[in-house]
Amino acid sequence: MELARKDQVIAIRTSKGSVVGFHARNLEVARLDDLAWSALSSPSADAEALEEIQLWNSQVSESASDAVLPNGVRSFAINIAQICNLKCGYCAAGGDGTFGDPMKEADLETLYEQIRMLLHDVPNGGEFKITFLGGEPLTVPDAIRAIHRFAKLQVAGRDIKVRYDIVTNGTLVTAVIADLLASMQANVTVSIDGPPEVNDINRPTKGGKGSTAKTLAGIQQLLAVKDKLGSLSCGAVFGQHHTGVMATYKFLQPMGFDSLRFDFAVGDGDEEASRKYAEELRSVADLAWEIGGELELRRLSMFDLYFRVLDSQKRLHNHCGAGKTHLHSDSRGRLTTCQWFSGEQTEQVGAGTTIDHSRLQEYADPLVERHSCGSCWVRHLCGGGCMYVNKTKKGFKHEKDEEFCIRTRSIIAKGIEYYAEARYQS
Amino acid sequence: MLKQGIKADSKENEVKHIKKVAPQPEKSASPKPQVTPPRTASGCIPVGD
Repeated sequence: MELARKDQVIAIRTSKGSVVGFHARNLEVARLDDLAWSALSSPSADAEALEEIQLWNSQVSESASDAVLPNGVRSFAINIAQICNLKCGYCAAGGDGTFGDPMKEADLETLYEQIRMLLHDVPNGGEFKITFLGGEPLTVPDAIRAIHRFAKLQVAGRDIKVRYDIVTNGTLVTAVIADLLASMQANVTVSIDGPPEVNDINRPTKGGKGSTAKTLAGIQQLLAVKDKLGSLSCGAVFGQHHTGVMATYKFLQPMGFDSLRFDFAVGDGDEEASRKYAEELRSVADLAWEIGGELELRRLSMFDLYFRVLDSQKRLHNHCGAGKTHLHSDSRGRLTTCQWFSGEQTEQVGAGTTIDHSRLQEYADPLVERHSCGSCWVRHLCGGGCMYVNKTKKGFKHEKDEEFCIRTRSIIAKGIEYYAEARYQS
Repeated sequence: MLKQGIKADSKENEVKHIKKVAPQPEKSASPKPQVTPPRTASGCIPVGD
């Protein structure tokens, strides 16, 4: 894949030889011919093609607009427990799901007060999302049931839709738990890194045994109620410990998930792994397209996001809503802007129902500005990158990790390639 | 696609080298399969499960 650029216009020469154009501000995608490619990539350009490129570059689309975040917190993630029955090698939650502070069950009274406070500010017609994290959240299904019941009572008689997300390792899913999640119409993400020879090593039990068989049994329980769930997804984590994206895709692809999340866990000196991950992910995109075109490609969550942004032509200015629309509470009710910052005292923005608004103000600026994305051509598809990644790699939330940018640009280029193909076909 | 300010029937001014594709918002609006929530709401990688 080669790239050429003139200001807002980027040309991507795909591995198949075609050329796709992208207007970074207008979020427009086009097919370019070879003369247009030459106009961007060589000094001896065809005058007519160059003129067309210059004209496109200068155009301001009336169809494209800025994505607007809701005013206030609409997403609340909670560590419903800070213990886990697994001990994953790459666990960022203190290495064992505890964040260094084991809690068998969250302080429910505090969570009730926090949920009551946050729901109070949601206007009629609005939506609110509660995400259950851990630890392993399904160690405490009764607590999940209780939170669900509480939130339901809080919005009774109000026109507010509460959605529930949960991220689980799947090992504790029984028929009863699957029914609970179905009754909540929960969006369930099961963490699994690939075939047993990979997953058993990356995600062992605390006793050091493989967890794959139990996770697969849990997935079967969830598949049995899939029609009643909001969605059923899987999440695999790659990084220096694991770059086999293709093998993971081939293992998970036939299982019937609505969506597959393939994320990258950053770490010092991860350049080689990052590029291998991106390369494999691009190959997976090629295979997905071959298998089932747009529908199959969009089962890969990041490509679905890029298609959504390009279809809506809404420019992203934030990679996420941390500190703007999203807060997180640990099991003791301590508030941070993101689950990744859980347990870090310096990142705490409140406790219980007390929110330090002066600290939240630090998160008010759009991330594409805060992170100085400038003229980066993917800025409105990426939204400025991840503060946790920056902090992990650079020591400061707002100093960009260049490797993140390289990885993201290469994956987005692949997404644009297939968007052009999908929309050109139709 | 036509050059700015050029009438649609002015054939010699048709853009030859750039063919824009049309977005199809309806293809991104279906509630199911419901995939990853928009990152502008929260998103990213949960930890510790």
